[in-house]
Amino acid sequence: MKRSSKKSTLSPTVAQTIPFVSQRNVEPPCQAACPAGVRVRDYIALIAQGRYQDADSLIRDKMPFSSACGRICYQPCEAECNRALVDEPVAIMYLKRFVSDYAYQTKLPLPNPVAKTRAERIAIVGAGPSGLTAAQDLAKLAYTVTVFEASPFPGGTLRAALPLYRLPKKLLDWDIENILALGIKLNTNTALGRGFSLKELREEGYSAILIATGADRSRKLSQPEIGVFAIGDSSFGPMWTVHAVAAGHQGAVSVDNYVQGKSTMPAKANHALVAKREKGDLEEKVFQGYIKPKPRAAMPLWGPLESIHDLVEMELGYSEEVALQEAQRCLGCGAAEILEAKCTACLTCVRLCPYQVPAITPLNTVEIRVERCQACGVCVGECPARAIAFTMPGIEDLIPQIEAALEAKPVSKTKPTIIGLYCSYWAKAGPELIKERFPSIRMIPLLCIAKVDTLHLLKAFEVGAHGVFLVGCEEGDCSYQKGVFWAKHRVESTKKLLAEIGLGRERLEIYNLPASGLEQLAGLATEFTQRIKQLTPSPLKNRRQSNDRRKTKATV
Amino acid sequence: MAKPFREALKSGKFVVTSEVAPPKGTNLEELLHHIDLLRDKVDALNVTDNQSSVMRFPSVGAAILIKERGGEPILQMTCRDRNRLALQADILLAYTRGIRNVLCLTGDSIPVGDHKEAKGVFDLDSVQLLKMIRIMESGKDLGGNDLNGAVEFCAGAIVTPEARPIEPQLIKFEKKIAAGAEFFQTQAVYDLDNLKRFMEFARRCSNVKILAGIVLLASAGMARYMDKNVPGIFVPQQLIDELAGAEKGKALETGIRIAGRLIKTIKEEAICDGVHIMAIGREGVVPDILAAAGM
Amino acid sequence: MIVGKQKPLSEIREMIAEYQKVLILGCGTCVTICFAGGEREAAILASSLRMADKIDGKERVITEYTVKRQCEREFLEELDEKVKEVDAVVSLACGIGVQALAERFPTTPILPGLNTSFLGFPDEHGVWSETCSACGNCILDQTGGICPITRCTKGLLNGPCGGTNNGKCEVDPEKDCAWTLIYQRLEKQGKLDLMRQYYPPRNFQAVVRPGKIRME
Repeated sequence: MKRSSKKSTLSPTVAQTIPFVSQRNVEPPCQAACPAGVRVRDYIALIAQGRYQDADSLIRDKMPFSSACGRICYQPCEAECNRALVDEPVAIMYLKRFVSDYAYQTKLPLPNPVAKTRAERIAIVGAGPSGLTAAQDLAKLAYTVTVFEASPFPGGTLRAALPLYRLPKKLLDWDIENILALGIKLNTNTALGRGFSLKELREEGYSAILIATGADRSRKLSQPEIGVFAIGDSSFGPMWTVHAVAAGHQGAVSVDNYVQGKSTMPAKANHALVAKREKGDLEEKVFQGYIKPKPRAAMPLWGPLESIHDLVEMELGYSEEVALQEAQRCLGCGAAEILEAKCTACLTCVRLCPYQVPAITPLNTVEIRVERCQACGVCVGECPARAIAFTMPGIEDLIPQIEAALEAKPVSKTKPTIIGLYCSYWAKAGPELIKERFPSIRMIPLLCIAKVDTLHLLKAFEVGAHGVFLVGCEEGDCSYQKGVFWAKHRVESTKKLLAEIGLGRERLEIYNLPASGLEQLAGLATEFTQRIKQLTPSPLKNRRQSNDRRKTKATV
Repeated sequence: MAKPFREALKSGKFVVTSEVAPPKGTNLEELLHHIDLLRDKVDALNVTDNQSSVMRFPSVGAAILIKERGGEPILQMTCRDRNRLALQADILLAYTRGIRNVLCLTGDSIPVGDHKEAKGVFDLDSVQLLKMIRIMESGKDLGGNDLNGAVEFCAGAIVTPEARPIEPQLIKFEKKIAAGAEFFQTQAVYDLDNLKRFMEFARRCSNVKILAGIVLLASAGMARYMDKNVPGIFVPQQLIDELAGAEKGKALETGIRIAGRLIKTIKEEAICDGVHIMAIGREGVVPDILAAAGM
Repeated sequence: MIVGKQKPLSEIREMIAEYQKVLILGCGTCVTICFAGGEREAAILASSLRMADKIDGKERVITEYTVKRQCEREFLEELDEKVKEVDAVVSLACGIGVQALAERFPTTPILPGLNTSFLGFPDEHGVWSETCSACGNCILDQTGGICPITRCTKGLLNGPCGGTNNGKCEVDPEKDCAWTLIYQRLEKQGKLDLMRQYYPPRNFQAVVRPGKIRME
């Protein structure tokens, strides 16, 4: 089953390095509803921008069995999706499937093995969804993990119980490969009680043992044993895949706590502030034209006769074009929040928000009302104290994306290095098409150019860009009402700075074009490239200065 | 030897004053020439104090020169360049040199002048300056101390009859009278109906003497500029047209004629108590203006 | 609140010309609110300086940091280690903060990156107007709540002057004539008598400079 697959040669993907942690424990309802804690809103945002690899690794972090969950989950997320208050819930499961299939079809690089910097070795019994999820988590925590599987193949119920036309086996294999690539050892055909015993495992020096043997082999421990944990179906009875995965996460946490000498009592439930939207607010936004109702994309199907005949999946999966559009229906709930310690209550966000979302509380602090935030990002850039955090991908990872783009396609001495920051809502095209049309420009997607701040633009030049342009909708068409207005404003103040610095205004440009005007942009981009070429070579050296190099986490 | 200005005011005659500007430097030739030219043709001569916030030879110095040469000076004093100590000191000096008339002004602000980074003092304003003189006349200084030798002055101030809005200006006018102003020289007026209206109000307040300000218009361009840019000055279109319609090189003549006509009308209709003629940079033609006015 | 404006980039560059390791220090209170020296501005300035240095081929290390408020000794404590590592600090705080830093770090040049301008009010996003001069002798009860000392260019107590122009000041047509405003306000309140009364010369020594207040 070992496939020769590419190992990742790039830095960890952007989504892996940014924690996107909410300090106020705000969660969009989709993420709050997911038992496995999958970052639903966040991976949908990544899909909406065409960042499928980032989406894939973000999904797998919490749902390693994305191919299964993209097909057979009971979708608690969709039941809570705020989009339903406008028209229909976002097709979250189908989008997860799209990414999973894409990862398989395009053979995205597997993760790099994790350096085993911890001394402890963990044994996991059972290579089903719970066990392998726990294995992934513990491997990422730098433990040495060994999984023992009684049957010849890993996968547990997912392999045994699901027919091929519900879950093609090669996809399950691919999910498992992604997990094992972290450096996990898998011993198949090794059954607990037959090949080895718990006593032997302990004698071999395993610091903790996790039993994840599944419902059909439920094993009652004769007495509670320290250092032995049971999770998943083996302890609680049969559940959905997502619950099994959730159990795997919990098991890993318990093992990690135990090994570190911390309490293994379940942590006190940290009640999330769930970003439920107000129906009235959404209706008004629809009425004013800020949200355009759009039905959920239908899943294309084989005819019933074909699918039975060929034992292939009846649901064909979304095409890229459909997936992009469906992901762009997501409202981005609960994305912006104020870090109270830094907030000076200057009221800038209150004054600037196109949707009057930030409000002054009875205590005269300022809060961003999660039930109204449209995730446009205008306030994030304008806040003078940088006290607004954006927990959805798209702003805080913009500079890492720019750096990654420059790393992937290093600055050349002969060709101008140009970064194009384009709005995905405007482009309506996936990354391949964009790359095809603009082969010599490092194009970086955004959910509206309002998310670009002066600092991002300066950094782009600082790390080596010779020229930068933004492209988005015309002012009246902006998905976020005043996004384009603010983008223009920031571009103008950045141009002034560039002139003062000595780089010159001409190196930065903003284009506002009719929707999906790629043809038009192609012409403008050529002009821009010519312009940059004719300018003296960027006076900045292209190596980064040591004091602003980002330290990337050594996780994968 | 000129008659004291206060006498001219009291006499009920149609009072005429004009002004001379000190030089920017120590070359007093032109100043002396203008003093000699005008001292006998007017009831008193104003001498400006760093006018328009441009640094010049001091007004108290020029006033002394006028006195020495037999003229009757009106010392213009602004609050922009000196604090209350310096203002009182200058008053003491002026008095000892025979100067008996002072015009109390707040002064133009610094940015309009030629020392744009200077500090604008404004320790006092024009109303407080008037009061200061009356206090010094009573033998005290502003610190409450006794003066060893008091002063006495005929003190006046300015008013802008066409200020917009007019109400705050009128309140100020009354305050100046209450503080001791006995005569006023107005900002330039070209619309005599407006002047009449202002005079109605003024007469209701008091009998202070009011001299209408007449600024010589040398060209249509100057007229338009003043109408547009100088606060409180409005030049009627027909006057602008009159200047514009003049033959080439004859605009100044036209301006002189206009000034003369205005003065004549004011005098004949006794609209107010006199005029104050300002021909900045063209002091030499003041006699021609007087002639055009039939004086 | 205190309103200031960042110095031009060229001026700041000149100030740091001789230094090799410079810390740009923002302040999280007043100057954040007037978009002159908060965390965002500090980051923008640091980035701009680095690029300008690169263009000149200058090797220099520029770091940035922001404290809650530079005018409190306790908030400066965390800077001790950071300041040890640099040759100079560009403070984006108002003059009070700059001096507080200079007092704590007497052997490190503390350079002002900001021109502290006035005490003012935010009229609208991005626009501040000076409204208080900290004269130490408030007379707002007599002028309908409009300060003539601050908002009249000449600081007149018996205004307006002859330069008043349709409610605007002769010095700057964008600025209102304070005394016209006072007139309108007092008229609305039926208190024009306050404007008619004589105001004697101001006590310029109400606060003897430099001012000091000691709570009893």
